[in-house]
Amino acid sequence: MDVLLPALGNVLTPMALLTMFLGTLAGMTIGSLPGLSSTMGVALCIPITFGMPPDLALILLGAVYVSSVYGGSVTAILLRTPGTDASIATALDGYPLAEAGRGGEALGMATLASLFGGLFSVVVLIAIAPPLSTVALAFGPQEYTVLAIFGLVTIVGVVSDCPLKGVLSAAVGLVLACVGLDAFTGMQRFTFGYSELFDGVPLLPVLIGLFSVSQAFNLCVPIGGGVLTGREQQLKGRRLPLWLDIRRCLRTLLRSSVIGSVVGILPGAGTSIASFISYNEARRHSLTPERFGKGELEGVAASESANNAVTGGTLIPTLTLGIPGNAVTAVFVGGLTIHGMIPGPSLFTDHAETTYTLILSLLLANVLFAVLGLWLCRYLVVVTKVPGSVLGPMILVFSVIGTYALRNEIFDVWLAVVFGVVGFFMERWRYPAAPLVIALILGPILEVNFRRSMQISHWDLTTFFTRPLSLTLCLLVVLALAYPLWSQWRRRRSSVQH
Amino acid sequence: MKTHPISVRKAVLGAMATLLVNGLSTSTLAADYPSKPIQMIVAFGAGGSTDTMARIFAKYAEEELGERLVVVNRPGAGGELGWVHLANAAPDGYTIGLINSPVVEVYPFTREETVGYSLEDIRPLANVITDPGMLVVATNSPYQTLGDFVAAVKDDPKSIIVSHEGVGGDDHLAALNFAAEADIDLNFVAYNGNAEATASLLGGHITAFAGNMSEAVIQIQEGKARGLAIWSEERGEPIPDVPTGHEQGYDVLAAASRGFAVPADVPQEIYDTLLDVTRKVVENPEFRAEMGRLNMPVNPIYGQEYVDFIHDSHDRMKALWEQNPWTEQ
Amino acid sequence: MTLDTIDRAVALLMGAVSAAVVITGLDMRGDAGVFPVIAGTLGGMVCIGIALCTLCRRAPDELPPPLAWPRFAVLCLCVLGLLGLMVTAGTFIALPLFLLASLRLLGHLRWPAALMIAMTFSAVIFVVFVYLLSVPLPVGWLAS
Repeated sequence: MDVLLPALGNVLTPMALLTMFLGTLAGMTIGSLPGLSSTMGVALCIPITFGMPPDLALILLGAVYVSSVYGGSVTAILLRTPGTDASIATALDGYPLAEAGRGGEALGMATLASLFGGLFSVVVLIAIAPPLSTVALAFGPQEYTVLAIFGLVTIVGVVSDCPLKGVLSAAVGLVLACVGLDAFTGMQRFTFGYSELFDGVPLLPVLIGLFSVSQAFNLCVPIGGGVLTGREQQLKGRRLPLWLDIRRCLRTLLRSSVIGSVVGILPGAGTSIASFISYNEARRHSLTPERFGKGELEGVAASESANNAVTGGTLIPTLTLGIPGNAVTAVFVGGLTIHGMIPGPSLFTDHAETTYTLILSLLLANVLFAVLGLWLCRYLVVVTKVPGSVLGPMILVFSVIGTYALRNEIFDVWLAVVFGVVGFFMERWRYPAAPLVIALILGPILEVNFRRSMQISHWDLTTFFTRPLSLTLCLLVVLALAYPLWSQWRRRRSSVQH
Repeated sequence: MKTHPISVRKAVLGAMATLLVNGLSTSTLAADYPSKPIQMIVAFGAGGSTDTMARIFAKYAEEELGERLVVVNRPGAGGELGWVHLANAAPDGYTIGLINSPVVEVYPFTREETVGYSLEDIRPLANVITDPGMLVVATNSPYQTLGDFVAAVKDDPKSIIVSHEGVGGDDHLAALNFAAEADIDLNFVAYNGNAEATASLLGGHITAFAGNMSEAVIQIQEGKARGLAIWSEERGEPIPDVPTGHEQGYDVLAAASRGFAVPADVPQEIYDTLLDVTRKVVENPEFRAEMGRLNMPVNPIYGQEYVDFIHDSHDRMKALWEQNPWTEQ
Repeated sequence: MTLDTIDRAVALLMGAVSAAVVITGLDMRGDAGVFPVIAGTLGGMVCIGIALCTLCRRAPDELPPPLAWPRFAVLCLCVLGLLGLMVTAGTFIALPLFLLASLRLLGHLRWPAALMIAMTFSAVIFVVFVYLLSVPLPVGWLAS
């Protein structure tokens, strides 16, 4: 612990605080713009960190990382244009709240939940990182396969009143996930000769299309459309959630933070699984599950605390084992190595001071974005009063430029626009878009791990049930499938009795 | 569709200055080359090992060139998209790119019907890094040498599972080479990246990991993994305890090389200028030290020699492919 | 068209796509086709399910919410224009034009307001993406 003090000293220098402030501001902006993701934010900052001493460079990257995940919630709630897959679940309840004029409250809850989740995971990172990192190793291909199935089952259950339409949406996502060069055989699948599709259908253009572009259409096309302008509604409600609401959500916050931290540790599992599983769990434990999806603060709390808890979680295998937990931390590793720090156990011995500086700065960055967020939310909510036909074109421009900036391909922009129109009609025809996106994320995880399991076990399907961890996950899947049916049966029976 | 980067300067000067520049012939351009920022196409994502090397190189090269060197990531199709952009770029010296051997010379025949560039469109400039291939097992694995490993495979081929990073990648080719040399059949499992494969190896889900030295060094130095062999002529500097394949009787040489290339029609003077700059950077002890810290072995091959190197490797790989096309498994 | 009719059409279309995926998947080499076949089969089964659902639903059929087709068409044209102009004329010619057109035609803003928003917003995009993040946006005519 004697490295903590000098590390604290490093964090509290004026230069470090300024860097952190700018990083947080940049991260929040990048996260909230429809076309920019956390991965991109961190990647774009790497060249800037070149000229900096390692301490400051890491502080900048860390601040951008945690605050960009939070920033995604702002536009997800106010405009339903989640910038990353992490905040799709936030939009489910956040946007209905904003539509009812309670955007300020939703933003406040999202901020506090993000702060809670972020702090929780950093404390976990400080306290028990090395033992927890073994979790990352215990997960083999079999476990990842079942985890991906669990994620898919959860998401379909969460978003749709007509489950069949959700499954169709997920099935389309899974088919899209097959596109590209197959890593196992080197074969081209459904690429139709487009080399832009060799790496698969790129996720972010699809996400931006289905959510941001289609929402721009939603705002623009109806005469006098908009988040609040359309129905003579005004901003109402408080700027901050009531203490009562916060206390009500405490259990959800804690549960979601644990889920987020654990899922974060698993390399490649993805932030969206964490937020959707947490959302589903919150709904399952709620006394009023029917209010979820129609503007329930607890839903926002669940999703936001989970996705920010992932940030600390992903850093656990990154820092302790040198195995990045997701795309953002992979870029982070690049940033570390440029400064001569090879991620791995040596970080905690040879570079302990710098490493703890990073971890402490994460704590502070979490607090910083929360303060900034709480202060800014009263001004940000005003955006919901802007007429849709002014807001729409701007969202479109951000989506187009942001998509282009992802890998400088005009092909991706066309893809985003096509999916925007598809998403626009999907919503009108009541097909949920979220399962498609999540299936596109989980599809490759599911496929490669399923095939890896099959190659390892030589096509023995029982391999999923003979390993204790994977068996446990299988039972969870069965539970997730059976629980809605059971609760429906119970509700029907109790209504008969009354 | 061709895009040009907008530099700050260019945007400020506007269309006028650029019209002027375009009016001049390439030969006059060569005299005051470089007069505007140069873009360096990296065919892989930001933060990866190729990108890291490119950005460090750019830092040193900017000092030599006196002009900005902008790294542009164009990832996709295992590098192909970036190389297509490099091959089709204007041959004015303001676009250079990184190429990764042996992958860059393999695509033109493994993806014959769809590939968007040919090796004739690209003129290799200089090689910088040669990262030898390795075969690595976890520390608690029973296999101490390649001999143990081969014996185990011959005994029960199904029990041994080797990871690689994608069919046709250098890791896969190295392992195939070894399998052919040892006359064994290996069970492969593909991983999307070094991270997942390492986690799987340390977690005991796979037997061995076919990868590059720079990826394996940390785990070996930490005592978490053991190198069975390194596919180079000499032992690797950071891990002197790992024997070469040759020492154990398996003549396998495999590596992933990273170097620079320009579009084929770049004027000779500009090519020479760039070669000169590259040479200065690569010979710079500070640059070498930084590469050393990243466990990336510097192996300079300049100019024509590098062109021959790429073409030789192409012919060798093509012969291997015609004998046993690896995507047809 | 009512939602049920639309559902049937969607089920038919996606069913055909799923069938095509399964057939292509069966032809693939090695185990490459396993997952397409699984995904396609899932899609096909759901399509049958949706089609059956529309046939035996007891709830009254509904119409989807009304859509202002002319406005939709105008917006689509604006977006097509934006993308087309972006690669030919360049981003910073296409952006203000797109904003101007959509704000005038859809938002019915006055000229000065539309002009000001279009210019300011394009400038913001330029500063953020080109100046700060050095993204190589297509420059088109501004370059040559």
